[in-house]
Amino acid sequence: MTRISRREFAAGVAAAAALTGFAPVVLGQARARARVVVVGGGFGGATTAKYLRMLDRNLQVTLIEPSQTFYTCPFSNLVLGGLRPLQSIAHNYNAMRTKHGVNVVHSTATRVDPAKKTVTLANGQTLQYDKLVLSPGVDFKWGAIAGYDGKAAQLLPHAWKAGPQTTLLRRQLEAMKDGGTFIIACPADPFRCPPGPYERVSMIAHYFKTKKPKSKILILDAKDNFSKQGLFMGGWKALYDGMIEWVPLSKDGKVVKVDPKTKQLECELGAKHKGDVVNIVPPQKAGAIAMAAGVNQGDWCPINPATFESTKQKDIHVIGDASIAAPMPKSGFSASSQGKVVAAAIVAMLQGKEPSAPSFANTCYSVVGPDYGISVANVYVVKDGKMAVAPGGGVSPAQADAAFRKAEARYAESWYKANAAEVWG
Amino acid sequence: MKRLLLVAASIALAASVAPVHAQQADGRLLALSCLNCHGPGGKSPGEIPSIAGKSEDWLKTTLVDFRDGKRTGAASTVMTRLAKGYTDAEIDALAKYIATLK
Ligand SMILES: Cc1cc2nc3c(=O)[nH]c(=O)nc-3n(C[C@H](O)[C@H](O)[C@H](O)COP(=O)(O)OP(=O)(O)OC[C@H]3O[C@@H](n4cnc5c(N)ncnc54)[C@H](O)[C@@H]3O)c2cc1C
Ligand code: HEC
Repeated sequence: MTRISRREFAAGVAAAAALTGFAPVVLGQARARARVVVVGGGFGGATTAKYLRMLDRNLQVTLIEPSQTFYTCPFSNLVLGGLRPLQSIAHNYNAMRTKHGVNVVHSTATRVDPAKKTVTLANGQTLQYDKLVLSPGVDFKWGAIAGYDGKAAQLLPHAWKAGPQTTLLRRQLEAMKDGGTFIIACPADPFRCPPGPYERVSMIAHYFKTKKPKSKILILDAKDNFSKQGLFMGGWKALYDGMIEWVPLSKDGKVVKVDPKTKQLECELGAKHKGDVVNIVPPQKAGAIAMAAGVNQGDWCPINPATFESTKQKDIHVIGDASIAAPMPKSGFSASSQGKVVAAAIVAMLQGKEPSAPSFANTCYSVVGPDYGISVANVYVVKDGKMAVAPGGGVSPAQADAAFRKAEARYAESWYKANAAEVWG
Repeated sequence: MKRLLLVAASIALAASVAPVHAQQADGRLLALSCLNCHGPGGKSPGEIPSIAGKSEDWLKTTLVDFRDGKRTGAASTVMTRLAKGYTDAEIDALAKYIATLK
């Protein structure tokens, strides 16, 4: 064996300490347990907190999340369709604490001081960080549609954050008479889960077909095309022919005003529609804490895609729906994939190393019917400093047979379980 | 303790011989996004097959087969689309890392 230099010996001590579980004495000062604070216990934040601890047991990781129970938006459309109970999309933070040693604080972050590197919580606590990760998801732009605010959402649910809103919309659908009309108003891009409104329409169509077959669905859209459009329309024709009407932007589909009491909607060029059950998916922006931290530029947060570090504030990383990561869509899979890359990047950066070349993936499964699944899947890389789509990818084939569609419906379910276990398990 | 230190030091040495360069494919990092479908540690909780406990050779051949369209129809609902997103070097790194998942 060659002679061991002092530096290598010191590294050896650190490695031995890591092996034996004792804090290294020699390097203890330089690498005092770094503190990472993660805001938001959803897809992005929970994944990051867990993976930070999995990749470096020496880190002190605090996760801030107001709710004890997290209801996933993914598969909340299946709850609306009557395919599963709300309880099946509920997750908690027990494993985060006991298995991964993350310090979970159930409170809301209200303030960030990037100069002092502190986060203030609604419970009065102030936390010091070396690195801060924000994954607050979206907030709604109340009032962007005249008459639509938090109070109106008690009558015309958004159900774009899962939980009580999902239950409210489901109850309204259950109470609706056969032969009634369900209206959904869809926003312009970018918004959380591009295929989400159309999966929702599919699941509600399934419910109507099996329980209220005379009912109709009207989609009022602020866009002229949507995610997996050909596949959705093919699925609707195959399963729910004649039940669904889609009104695009160019046919006066953009809803600009609502009257929550009469359930009347008004579109940009004057068309009026009245529904028995009305679902408004409002325009969105990054969660409020992003604005408080000064990491936003307009509605969303610009980042360096290699590390998701904010381009506006050093040592603050913004991931998930709140970040500008296009062409990656705002999805739970994207947020989790970003969380993993960011956890690895932060571990490297705190050790003074250069992060590995990042690689991201996303797949959005949509359940069109119980035995009819479709997907869009892509790998993403950073090219010339920008997020880019890797070769391949794309949507399920247009001409697939029934076995293919059924397999994707089963895989969607398998994805849900695997993904939830990766995020909260 | 002295013995442990020597072992540790030699681990450190081995590591310093082959540093992970920023642009070198990092198999573990690449594999992390596979787990959102294939499950924690590559063990699937549902109908998507597990990828833990497979040999490096088999993984490499299978990924290349997916990429080159040798599995078709319902035998490759999504993997052909995804596998095309990785370079040869990345597939090598993926297979090497995933083969360590037991
Ligand atoms: C109907 C529907 C269906 C969907 N289906 C899919 C799907 O099938 N697949 C898929 O991949 N994606 C799907 N999505 C998208 C997915 O839900 C989001 O993209 C994902 O939740 C984004 O993750 P995130 O971490 O950015 O935000 P979230 O998961 O929303 O997490 C944000 C968390 O931050 C917390 N928070 C916010 N502000 C603060 C604060 N100041 N302090 C502390 N905590 C705070 C919130 O309480 C919340 O728990 C769907 C969305 C909808 C609406
Ligand atoms: C969107 C979910 C998803 C992601 C992400 C994903 N896979 Fe798969 N994988 C599948 C499905 C579904 C199958 C079954 C074949 C098919 O339908 O494409 C599969 C099959 C496989 C198989 C063959 C298993 C067997 O027993 O035949 C291997 C190997 C594999 N995947 C490796 C990977 C690797 C490596 C990655 C990450 C680079 C990955 N997968 C990412 C869903 C996924």
